[in-house]
Amino acid sequence: METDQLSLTFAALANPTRRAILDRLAEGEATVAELAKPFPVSPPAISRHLKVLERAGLISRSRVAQSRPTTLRLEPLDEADAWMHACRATWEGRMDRLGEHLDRIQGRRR
Amino acid sequence: MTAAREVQITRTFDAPRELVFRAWLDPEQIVAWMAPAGLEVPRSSVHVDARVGGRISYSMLDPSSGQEYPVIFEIVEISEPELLLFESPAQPELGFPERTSTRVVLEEEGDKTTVTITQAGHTDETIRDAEAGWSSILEKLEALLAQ
Repeated sequence: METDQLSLTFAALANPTRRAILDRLAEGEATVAELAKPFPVSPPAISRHLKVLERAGLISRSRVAQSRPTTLRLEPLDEADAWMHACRATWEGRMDRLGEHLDRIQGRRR
Repeated sequence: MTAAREVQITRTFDAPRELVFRAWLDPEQIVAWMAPAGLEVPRSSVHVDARVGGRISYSMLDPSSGQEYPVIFEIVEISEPELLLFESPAQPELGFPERTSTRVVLEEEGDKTTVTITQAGHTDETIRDAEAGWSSILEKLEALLAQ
């Protein structure tokens, strides 16, 4: 699949932790430490998730402040759209892997 | 119940329909594909009772955090090799506040198989019906990308 912006966005939304981060950011900007708090995840792991979200254009991070507060860029997406994004992203991801799996068990390689 | 939100995706695979169908109910194959890239399906988490009234359950594991996300498909209908109908309980903590249904239709097209998945969220609040005007995801994304 071509790595266009849409694919990046869907891939970013396919992860439940990243969706939860977006939910949190819907309430307002937050620092990495604040974002990491509700998760059993280390701050570096949260930073990796934020990089994926930033590449997908779903968040922006301040370059000015030391704490680099993060803000959501998806204001147009309401809760229903977030749900649809999540479903679609998850199924697209599964279908990618099903295709690879079917090729593999039929002895083909991609 | 009213279907308040619905997502449909279609994919064509270069594989016979029987083979594609079996990938849905075989625990060994579920491990290989039933989580998006970046997540794993631990073999020990997979349980399949492949009959109407049975269920498929497994976990999607994020290896970078160790966090697991449970997935449950209750089997409502099986018609081999063309249809699977599942229902899943609400999982508010994972962003699924409502019960959802998942319909999997497999169509034969020569040597290929087209799979159409329709996932719908259900709610009793009719106010959240179609008139609430869910505009398409793609439209909103296009608008976003054009910013």
